[in-house]
Amino acid sequence: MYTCILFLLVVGALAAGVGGRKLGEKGAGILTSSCLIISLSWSVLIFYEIILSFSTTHIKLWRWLDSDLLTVYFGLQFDGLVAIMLLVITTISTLVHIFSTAYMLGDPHIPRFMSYLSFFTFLMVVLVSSDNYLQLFIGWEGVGLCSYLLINFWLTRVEANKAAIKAMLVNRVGDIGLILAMFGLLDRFGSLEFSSLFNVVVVSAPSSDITLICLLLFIGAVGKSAQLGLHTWLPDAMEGPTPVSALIHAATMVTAGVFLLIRSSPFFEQAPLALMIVTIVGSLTVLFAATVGVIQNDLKKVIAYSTCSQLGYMVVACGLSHYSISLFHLMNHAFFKALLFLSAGSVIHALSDEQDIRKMGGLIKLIPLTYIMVVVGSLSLMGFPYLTGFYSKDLILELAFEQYYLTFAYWLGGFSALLTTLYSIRLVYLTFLSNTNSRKAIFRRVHEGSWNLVLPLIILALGSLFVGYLTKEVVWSFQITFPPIVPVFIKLLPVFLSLGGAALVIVLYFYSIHLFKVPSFIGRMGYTFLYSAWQFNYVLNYFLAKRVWRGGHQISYRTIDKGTLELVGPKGVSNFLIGLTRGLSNLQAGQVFNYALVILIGVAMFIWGVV
Amino acid sequence: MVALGGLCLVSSSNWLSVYLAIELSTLSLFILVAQKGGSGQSAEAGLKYFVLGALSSGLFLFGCALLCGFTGGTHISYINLVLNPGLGFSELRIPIGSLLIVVSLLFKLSAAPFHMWAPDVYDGAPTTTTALLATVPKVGYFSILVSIGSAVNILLVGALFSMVVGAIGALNQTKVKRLLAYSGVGHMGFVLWGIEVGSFESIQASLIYVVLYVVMSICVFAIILTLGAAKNLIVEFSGLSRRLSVLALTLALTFLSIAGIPPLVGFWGKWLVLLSGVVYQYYLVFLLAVMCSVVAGVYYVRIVKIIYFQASFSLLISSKVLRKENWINLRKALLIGAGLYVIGFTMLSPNLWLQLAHWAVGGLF
Repeated sequence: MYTCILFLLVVGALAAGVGGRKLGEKGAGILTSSCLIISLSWSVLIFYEIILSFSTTHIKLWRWLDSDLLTVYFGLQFDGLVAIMLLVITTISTLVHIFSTAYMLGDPHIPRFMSYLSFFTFLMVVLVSSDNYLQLFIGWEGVGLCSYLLINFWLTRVEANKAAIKAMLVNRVGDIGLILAMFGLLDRFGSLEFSSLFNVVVVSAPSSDITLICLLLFIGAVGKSAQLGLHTWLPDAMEGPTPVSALIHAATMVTAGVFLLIRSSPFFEQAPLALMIVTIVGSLTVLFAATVGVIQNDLKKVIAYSTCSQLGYMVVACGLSHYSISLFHLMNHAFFKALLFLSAGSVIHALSDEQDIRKMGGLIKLIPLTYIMVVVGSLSLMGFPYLTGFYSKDLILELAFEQYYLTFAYWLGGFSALLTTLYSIRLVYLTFLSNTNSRKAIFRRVHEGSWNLVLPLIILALGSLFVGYLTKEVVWSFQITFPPIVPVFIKLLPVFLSLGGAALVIVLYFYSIHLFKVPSFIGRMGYTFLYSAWQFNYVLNYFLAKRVWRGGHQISYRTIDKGTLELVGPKGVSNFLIGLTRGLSNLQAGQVFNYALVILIGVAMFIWGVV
Repeated sequence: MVALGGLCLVSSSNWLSVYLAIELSTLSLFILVAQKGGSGQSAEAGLKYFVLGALSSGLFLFGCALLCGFTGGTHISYINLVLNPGLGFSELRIPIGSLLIVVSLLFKLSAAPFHMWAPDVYDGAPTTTTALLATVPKVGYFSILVSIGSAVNILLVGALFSMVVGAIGALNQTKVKRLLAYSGVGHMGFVLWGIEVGSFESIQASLIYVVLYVVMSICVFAIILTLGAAKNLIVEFSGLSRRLSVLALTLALTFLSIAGIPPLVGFWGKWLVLLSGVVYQYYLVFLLAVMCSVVAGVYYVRIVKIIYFQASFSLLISSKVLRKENWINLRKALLIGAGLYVIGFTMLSPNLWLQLAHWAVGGLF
């Protein structure tokens, strides 16, 4: 049963990928979706067995690498963390599969799309269920690859290709961190298996080695989870189809970095410095992404920055050593963010592929169901009391307040909660409530989608409402966390901040005409600064990427590879040999006395040598 | 006659009878080479072979004269006994004498730097004769070289030269038979190295190498004869895989085997020789040998490429169409099949060869 999950996903992916032409567009969708549904039901069973019945499972499949220094098995490890991840992945993936059959209708490449989606899910399951770092790395790279393939699924669009390449390249930076961390682990502990590593690290004394390894692991997580510095690929990745954004860039792949942090928690526990850096980066990401999200005009980019911000919350929770809470937030976030993305997809679908929220508005009367979905998702995202997001987000903030020197994370997080509300309500307002700005031809064609477009939304909405409440203590089971004792003021502050944010939007948008008649210089500067995401792209490109590019081109490519090595290597050798063989042919002139002379010279040489 | 000469050569124990045996086979080869009447090339090749052969015979006789004059006998074993280092002769004539003999044998083996006649003669002679020339004498001369077992340094120098010349000389050849001549030079380099190392295993390896070389040569020449190409240009093989796919496959496999590609038998022979060389710590020679066989691999693989991946030139196509379709006859087919069997399947169970070579070499010691 445990390996069957993996097997089924591969079967679905291969069948849709290789035999898509035979299956047809509908057949591919049905096949992959049913594979996913079966996997989902098994994941539920695994969840029951592992979390509720406390029976952790470890399956050694076969020996993979077997050398003197390194022995690696293929193995599957199912513990509490993995069970929850599996449940999240298969649930979201199933819903996204079903959603895609409606959303992508009419696209000629549906089988390819479904195949990529299934393959992605398979690799994600490999990533979470592996029992060593190397196998995890397979999944890690594999999901990166699938992300690349799916971002530029519409491969005739230049923007999509650029975004896909960017995602790949930026992720490589993080991958380097992960690879170096693996080397470090191998050097220090001589193994890459979780079971042996974690047992060894607990008894070993804290040292700077472990801090270094943790920081390298964190670089990997920063790349994958789009934390500050390497986040630039995530907003651009929104060029991909919306179901992809929901599955990969909100619910699952981007959480792989957080998963890595949670998985490597025994190491981080030995490295307080690394934990501190994790918290700082995480909380800065929270704030940064929230500020940028407020200004964005693209519907999906707003949600993308929101994702970035929420990932920051998860990282902060990891930095505070409350890994189970991080996982809890991961799970909740998967539900409400997938809901937001899918309903955004529904909106985009309804408006004939319009993504700019300034050109929307007034949709509440036309697609009320989608409106409800977006509102539920947004409220959950804001952490409105007793919705899913509330349980984890508030807990993270309270835990942050409890910390001695890291309490700034609380203030940053709290302020970001206000901003979160700001952009969420702004989004709802501009899309649904305000007067419409879209063209009449489009506006008249607005409609709700078919059942398979709506059904996933409803299920996710139920999840966004109740999952947090239902699973709050279950998810903590593998690392017990007691709710901290904080003053009432602190406990209520995030909620008030959220409500304040909501009020602020209304104020801004009703009275903005009076406030900003002529935007001042500072106002314009601030707007540009935020709109271009703190100029991260520009700075990175100008100061880093361009120089590295130039260095790579001129030094390593032109001078070394095509210059020195080419001259000494292939070209030199072949020229040398050709010259030699020409000389030899000239010697072979076809005249007998020449030959006799050569023979005599040879004899003379030998005699001279002997004597 | 050639075969008779070869047999006599193998069994003779007297320098003079060795000489007679050599001359017997060589003279008959002269005639065979020049046999194609009316062909200037054939006559030229015969004449060249004759003149240079006379030169080498002269060297051989001079060496014999030096040795006999010093020792007073013509039996090989007798001379060897007299020349035993234990007796402590320090006479200049002896090494020069044995050197001259070895040089003339190297000439017959077409080892560098006495290989000059080989490409021209191979090319000029009728293909049947070339096949004979490339195979039968080599075994005989090999045996005599092993049995006199002297002049180690000359053999080493000859081996090195042969490997290099064999590898480089064939690179820009356009005719199959010239290419095979150079390839033979390179192979003789390997064989000589094995003899030079002088241990039981290395001579065994050399023997196996020679036998395998002969088998592979027979196979190649049989195929060339079957194809009946007009000028024996390499280009004429182009597009062979489309016309005669089985034959093309055989030819390609044979060439790959000659190049020493692992699952085929040529690799095994090379490997044995190299192994025995490395065991006796000839590291530099080993490196050179491997490098030479890499370079040599280039032109063998080039032929395979031409067979499979190069379209025919239009000029060639027209000539092929005009020529009568010649079907392969049964004898050649059997020959080629047997050769291919040896080439392809010996690697599965090489024990038979090893055992035979073991007995053969065991007789020497």
